[in-house]
Amino acid sequence: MLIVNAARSVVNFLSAPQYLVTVALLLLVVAINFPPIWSKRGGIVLGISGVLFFALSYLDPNFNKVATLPDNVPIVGMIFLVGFFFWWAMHNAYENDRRIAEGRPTIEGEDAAQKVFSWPDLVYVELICLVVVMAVMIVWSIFLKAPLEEPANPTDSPNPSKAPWYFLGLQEILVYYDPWMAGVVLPSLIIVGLMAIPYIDTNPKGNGYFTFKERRYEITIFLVGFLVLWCILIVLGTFLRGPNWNFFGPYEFWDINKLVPLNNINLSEIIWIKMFKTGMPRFWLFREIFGLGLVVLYMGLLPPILAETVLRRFYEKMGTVRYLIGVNLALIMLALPIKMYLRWIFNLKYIVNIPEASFNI
Amino acid sequence: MPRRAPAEPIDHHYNIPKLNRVFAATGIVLTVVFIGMVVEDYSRGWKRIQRAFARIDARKAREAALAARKTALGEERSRLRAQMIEANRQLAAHRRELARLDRKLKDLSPQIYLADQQFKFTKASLDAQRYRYENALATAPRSASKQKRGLDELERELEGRRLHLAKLQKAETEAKAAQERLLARREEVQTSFEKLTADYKNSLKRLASLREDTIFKLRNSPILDMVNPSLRVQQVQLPDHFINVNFMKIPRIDRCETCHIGADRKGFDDPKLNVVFRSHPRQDLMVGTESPHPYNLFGCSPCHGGRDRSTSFWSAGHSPENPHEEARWTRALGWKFDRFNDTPILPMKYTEAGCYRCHSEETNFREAPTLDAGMKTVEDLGCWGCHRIEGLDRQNLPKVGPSLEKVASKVTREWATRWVMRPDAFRPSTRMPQFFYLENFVNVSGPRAPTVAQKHMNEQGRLENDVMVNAIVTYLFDKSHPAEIPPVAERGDLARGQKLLSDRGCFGCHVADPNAQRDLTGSYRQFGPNLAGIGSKASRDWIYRWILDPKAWNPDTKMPNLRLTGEDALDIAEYLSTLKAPPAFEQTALPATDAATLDRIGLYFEMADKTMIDAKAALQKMDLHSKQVYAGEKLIAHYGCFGCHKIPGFEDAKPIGTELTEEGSKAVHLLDFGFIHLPHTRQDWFDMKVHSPRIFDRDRARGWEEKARMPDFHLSQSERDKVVTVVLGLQESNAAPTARKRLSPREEAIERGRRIVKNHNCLGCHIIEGYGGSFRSVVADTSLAPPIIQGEGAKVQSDWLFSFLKAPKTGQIRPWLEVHMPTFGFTAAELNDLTRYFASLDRSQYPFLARDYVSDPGRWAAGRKVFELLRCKQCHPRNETEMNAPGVDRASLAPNLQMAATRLRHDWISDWIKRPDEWMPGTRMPTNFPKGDDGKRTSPIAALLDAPTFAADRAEFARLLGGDDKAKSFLSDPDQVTKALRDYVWSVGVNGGTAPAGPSGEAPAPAPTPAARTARTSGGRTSSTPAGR
Repeated sequence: MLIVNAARSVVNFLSAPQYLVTVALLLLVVAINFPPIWSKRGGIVLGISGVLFFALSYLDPNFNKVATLPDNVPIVGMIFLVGFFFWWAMHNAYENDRRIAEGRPTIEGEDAAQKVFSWPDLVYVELICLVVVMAVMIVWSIFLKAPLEEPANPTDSPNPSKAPWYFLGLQEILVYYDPWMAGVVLPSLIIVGLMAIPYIDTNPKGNGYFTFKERRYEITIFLVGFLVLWCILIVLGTFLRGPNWNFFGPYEFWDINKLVPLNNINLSEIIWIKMFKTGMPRFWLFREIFGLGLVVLYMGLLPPILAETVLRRFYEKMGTVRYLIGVNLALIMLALPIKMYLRWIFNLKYIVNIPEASFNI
Repeated sequence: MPRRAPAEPIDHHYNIPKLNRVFAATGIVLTVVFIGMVVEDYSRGWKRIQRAFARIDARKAREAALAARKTALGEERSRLRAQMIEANRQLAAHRRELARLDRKLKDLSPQIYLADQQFKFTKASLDAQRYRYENALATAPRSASKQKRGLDELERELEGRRLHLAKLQKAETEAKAAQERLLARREEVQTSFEKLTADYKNSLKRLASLREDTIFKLRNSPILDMVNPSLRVQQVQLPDHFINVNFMKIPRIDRCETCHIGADRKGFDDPKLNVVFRSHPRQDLMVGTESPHPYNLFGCSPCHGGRDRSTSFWSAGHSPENPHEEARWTRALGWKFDRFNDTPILPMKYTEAGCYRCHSEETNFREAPTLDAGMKTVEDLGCWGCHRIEGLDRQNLPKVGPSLEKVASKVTREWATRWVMRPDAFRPSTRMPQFFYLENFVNVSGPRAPTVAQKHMNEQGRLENDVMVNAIVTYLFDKSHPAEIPPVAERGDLARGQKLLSDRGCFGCHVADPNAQRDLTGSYRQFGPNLAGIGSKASRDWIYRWILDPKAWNPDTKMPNLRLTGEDALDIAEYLSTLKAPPAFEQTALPATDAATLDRIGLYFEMADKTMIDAKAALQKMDLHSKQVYAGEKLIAHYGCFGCHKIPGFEDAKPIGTELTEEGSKAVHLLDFGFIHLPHTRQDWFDMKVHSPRIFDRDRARGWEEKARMPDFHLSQSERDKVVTVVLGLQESNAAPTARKRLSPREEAIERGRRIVKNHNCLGCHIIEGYGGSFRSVVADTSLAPPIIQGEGAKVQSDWLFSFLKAPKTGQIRPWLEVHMPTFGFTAAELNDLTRYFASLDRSQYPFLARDYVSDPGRWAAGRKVFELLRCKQCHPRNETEMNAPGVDRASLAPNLQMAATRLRHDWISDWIKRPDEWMPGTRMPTNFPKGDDGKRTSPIAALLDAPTFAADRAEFARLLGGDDKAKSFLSDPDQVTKALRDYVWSVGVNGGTAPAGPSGEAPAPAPTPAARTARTSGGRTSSTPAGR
């Protein structure tokens, strides 16, 4: 029992957003560069440990309560599905990399050499899929009833109020960014960024086959964005955010009385009051000059500096326009974890805070 | 382009035979799943219930059929058989005649048909010819005469045909009548026979319809059941009841009867029957078609709550009454807590909460005893003093506790301190709750052993409570208005005082029993405080002054003036001052004031409008006493003492508690459950809150100012249930105004009266509308008890009642009584409301009466004669002399008739004389006009006079009434006789009974009977059927 409780405490502790995101980032970077994981045996071990984790966790009443809610069951499924396809892609990528190194054709290349008719090879399989999916959906709908609630009441919002599951990542961003940024600018940029990918990334390698070696940076950036900043945040929002949007470990009771201090301060306050020990300047531009400066530095100066240093290779390969757009999009994506860490380490509320214009970063 | 064969042999990526097998397997799985879906969709719980109910119904139908069969096959049947044989035998004698008639009718039938047809055809030709003639007149007058001839001819022809038809029809009618005459007897027997077997046949038909035969199975099989299933969702749309879906109100559609099929049917009362099948237990009141809440207009959910459209046990929102039931439901019915149901069904013990939503304008809820008792408890305990409740707010209730304006002159500081500490230690039956030394101050860990930190908190809490008690008492005594209590030198008679205490009627509102437990709803005698221990609270001199004239001490007191003489009052005061409190109370250690704690409390209040520095400075300027007065004032405001007591300085203070007007529909998540593990339902929270008001502070680390303030009333389980019923009922009504109870002007008058009756505890002494009269149990001889008030509105004149209630005089009606009707000091408005109340109860004229009563001298004289004859005088004195005559036993006297003309209603007197036993069952007034066999009243006087001994009287009546015959008919009519008696009695008051009062004439129509008036009614509706006339 002692061990179980200790394990619970460790998991609870590590599930806090700051550790969850950090651990996820580190694990991801380490894992994609660690081939044994992506072997069949590695996959089986990963799968079994995942199932085991959930199976044991379901024994915990608090975990059980949250994870078996009809709304949350699909997210459990999502964890396994995303995990499986991630492993599948990496498995094939490593296999292909090995083949390419040996000068053999890729799996897909080998496969593509042979032509078959769409019937029965494609349509038949699709039909079987359709039948299976239908059967699964029917069984699901019989055993997990639709989680209908009372009619919505504007004077009595549920606690916690949660967005639909696919927006829980955005809702998590709301903790760190102004609603205007988190709700409007960032989602728009996600869509714009996804649309821009084919124009920015003109590298023909990896077309039609899995590979990691040939596209190490692109894949790493994508996985950070998709797995950590999207999927993990959805999981966090689903299972680990309880009443009052407080964080609760997976084995923790969702106590409505839980209180967490939210003593966040702006960058301007840190600089003018804490460091300079003077009052805040009245004029907003003067007051926010440091924050604005940082933003300009980050968005305007960093790309050319990078182009001259670390990313020189990319700059040369992509050309100025492509490079600037790509780097800016990536920087905006990275702004999210950066802001998260600033919050966790410095209790930073906003880098730029201009209530006069309802503008906050 | 023609299709070409592939250049190379087809090679498949997949193994097709394997895919075939996979496809087959998935197909089978999908089929199974699909069947499962249909089964799941088809097998609804309510279908099972409807089938089970149909079986129960069938059993009942079979029993009914068997019973009907017995009747159908009984003796009656053989008797009818015999009659039938007899009738047939008689018919046989007329066989020839019948055959002849038959033949004749058979012949006539085609003839009539033909004649009728010819008549109709001719008529059609005639109409056409008339048109031709008219057309000719208008267009070609020359040919008109020809057309006219044709018309005349046709008219003649029609006449002939009409005659022919009439003749034939007459013949037929006669033949038929003859036939019917012959067959009549047999027809009659046949009809009786059918009547006899009708029940049996009907019940057989019913039984057949309930049988689960092939047709039943087909109708209710999957897919086919879309056509016309017999198992179906039963629903009723309730256009006047709504569900509030936040942006709009939608009409309710009740589907409860899908399972509760028997609810609106009679005869399913067997307690062994599963609850779901049973009839509603109060069909006279609810659900029944004749009841005020018929099923088709009120359904179930508007009162019971729950999801109206739901058809499963769990989703309907059934709420278990206790953990035992919850366990049973969870096990047997798959029940689970539904956190999304905002309005679950009220648990059975709180069901009456549903009444209040629509009936909040009423004062008493006679048909809802729990709610009624709960409302009385809430009113009496003064919950509304801190918690605004709109329904009670409208009633302008007087404050529950006594005024504390002159408290220093009434009680000692020590007593007041001990009282504030533990009121129930002085008087277990008190309504004053305990504010201090409760769990969240002195036992913050609850039943668990406290930690070191919690021990420290407990100590600190005790110190804080000590300081609070002292501060509050200091404030009260500091601000108390000075009052002089002149000492009384004489001593009273203890024994006489004790006797007077019960004789004068004090026990109508008080008990004097040190062990009495609080009982606010069973007895009306705890309206005033328990007098046990009163001697330790107030001095003899104060008691003397108080009971002599309570309003002189406190104009707002509810205590009435019993018009005691100085001697009476002294004796009673002498006795009361010997009733001492239990020694434990007297020995309670008085709390000490901890200066540091007092400063801390004072500082908190000072900081409400000052900075910390200013607050500290202000506090430093005060001495201990003024600190206490300051803190006392603030603490009284903090704890809301003024909600129940009048306290100097708090005349306009607002209630401190949560408004409860719509508490019953408050969202559950707004209720603070703290760290207490309870089911998250309103009723569980309310119950816990009134049980241990401070419990939700348990394990909290709060300062005194944050701690819960609600005092502990030490409610019993039954009191809690009642109070929780009321709180659950405090909801916004989602019914259309037309579906809500709206009071008619008469009902409004009654409600106003009932409110005054409730506020002044009239029911302590009197039985009114069939309730109350607790004092009667204290009096040995009930004829010496305060009267039962029944039919008062029909009986007395409103203006007499007005002046009587305004200032009753001792010995006014029944001078022999020891008990006094108190002087309540009603306002004119209250008096008008009260008189109107009584008049409205009896539907009597109000407020003015036309006093042009006229009396025929002959009738009056006859009345006087009857008065003598019936020896009315034996009990009824007609003046003071007769009343005080020597040898009269005053206790057995009846009311003095001298007052009749000023007190009683003219038309009531005769009605009363005629049927006193109906007006007041058990009255000592003899019934002189007994009911005859036909239920009508008879007068025995005429018959009496036939006896030779009364010859002289008979002659006298004949003289007075103008002849023996007239006298006889007069005296045998109870209406005439009683009116004559009335005329005489009336004149006794007007002129001493020496002459008829006024000219001759008829009195207004009589009032309805008392039986009709006291019929128990809900919501003040009374039946107006006059009975016994």
